[in-house]
Amino acid sequence: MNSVIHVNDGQFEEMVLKAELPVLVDFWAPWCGPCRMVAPLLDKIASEYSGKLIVAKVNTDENSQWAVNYRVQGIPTMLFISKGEVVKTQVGALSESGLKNLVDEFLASNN
Amino acid sequence: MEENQLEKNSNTNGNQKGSSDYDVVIIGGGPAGSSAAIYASRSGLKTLVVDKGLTSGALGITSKIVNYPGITDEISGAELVEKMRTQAKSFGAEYISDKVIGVDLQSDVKSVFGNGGVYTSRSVIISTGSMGRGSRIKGEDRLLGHGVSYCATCDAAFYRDKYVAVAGNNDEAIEEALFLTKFAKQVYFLSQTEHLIASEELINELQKNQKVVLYSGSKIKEIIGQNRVEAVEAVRKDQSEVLLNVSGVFVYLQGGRPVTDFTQGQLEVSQGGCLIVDASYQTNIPGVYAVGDVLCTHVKQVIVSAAEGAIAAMAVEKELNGRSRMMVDWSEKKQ
Repeated sequence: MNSVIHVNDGQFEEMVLKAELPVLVDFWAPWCGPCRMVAPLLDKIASEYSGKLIVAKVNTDENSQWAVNYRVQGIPTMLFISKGEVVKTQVGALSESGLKNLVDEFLASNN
Repeated sequence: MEENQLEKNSNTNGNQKGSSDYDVVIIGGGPAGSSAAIYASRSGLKTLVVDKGLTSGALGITSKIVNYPGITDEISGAELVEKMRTQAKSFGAEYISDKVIGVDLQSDVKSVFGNGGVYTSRSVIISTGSMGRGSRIKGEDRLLGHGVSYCATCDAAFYRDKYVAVAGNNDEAIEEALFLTKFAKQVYFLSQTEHLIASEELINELQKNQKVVLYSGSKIKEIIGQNRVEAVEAVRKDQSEVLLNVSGVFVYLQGGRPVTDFTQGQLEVSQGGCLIVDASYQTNIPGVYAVGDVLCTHVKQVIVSAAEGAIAAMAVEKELNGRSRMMVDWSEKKQ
């Protein structure tokens, strides 16, 4: 059972952009309420979609390089990345079913 | 903080009750929510009210109330709400200033997510009123997350030394603007009304802040930018137009719709967007109640909201204590 991986600026390229599996990256910060709301959903998705999807988190408080590169100006921002390319962007918290729909669409478009 | 939350939310086994911080969390502290808080805390329930601010609701911005029974002296809506809050607090209810952005109502332990924290409870009463927004500003949806934000606490740090605009006129908007001044170079505060609707203290703090430029009676017409916010175009009270170069726009505007967006489809709503409840004001999810102006069937009067809050709180008490009849609190006098 997979869990969410925490990625820093230095690891981002290797663990996200060069990953074989599609990746959902969540840019978040500890003080952000909507991020706290999404956190348990991401954990659930990491385990339910184990083997199909990597769920990664970047703490923008400690690692800002990639957030700046992707022009993240609001958190949580979730990027759906496939083979290094951003396929979809979701800004703001959403419901479990809403997030699962996005993940399913992302995985379907990836096949 | 995250780990705590995972722990709280991992309780999905229906046989285990799990633990919660409160017996009841009430979302919205207007007359419906505060009356519910009075009755819930008076009956011994551990009660929390999560509220955005005194002037964020319809009563808080009403200048004069003359038909509330027992209140014979002229009183403002905000003063009446404040009295209700003081009464609820005297029975042990807690109030916290926070904006609710989501809820998990399905589990036995219900979670209420705010910008400032997560509050768990055995039951929830929704009394968020009907001042939700309908229409959006041109450009707002397209640039959400690229300069448009609804949460200064979350996003202010991205605007260090930048110019930002805040749209709103109540205490929530002012507090968010003051928070932004800690990061931004300049905060343009655009109030659609000529006068701000908040306590004098808060208004003074805003007016005195060197980083704030106040545009009263000004309405944002369009948020401009290709891929990110570059400017806002506003119409001033004399109908002149002003273009402000900003990197961010924080929107706290209100309208006349029931505030239910944070329920994210978990509750049944009517065509008019109101929550649907039974005779004891319970929604389609057991343990979750809705009262006050967030209902369509409701007559928009303070006394009606207050009564509904009382009925819902008594129903919660009955449910949580497993009794078949409501406990009626006649008085403390014993025969």
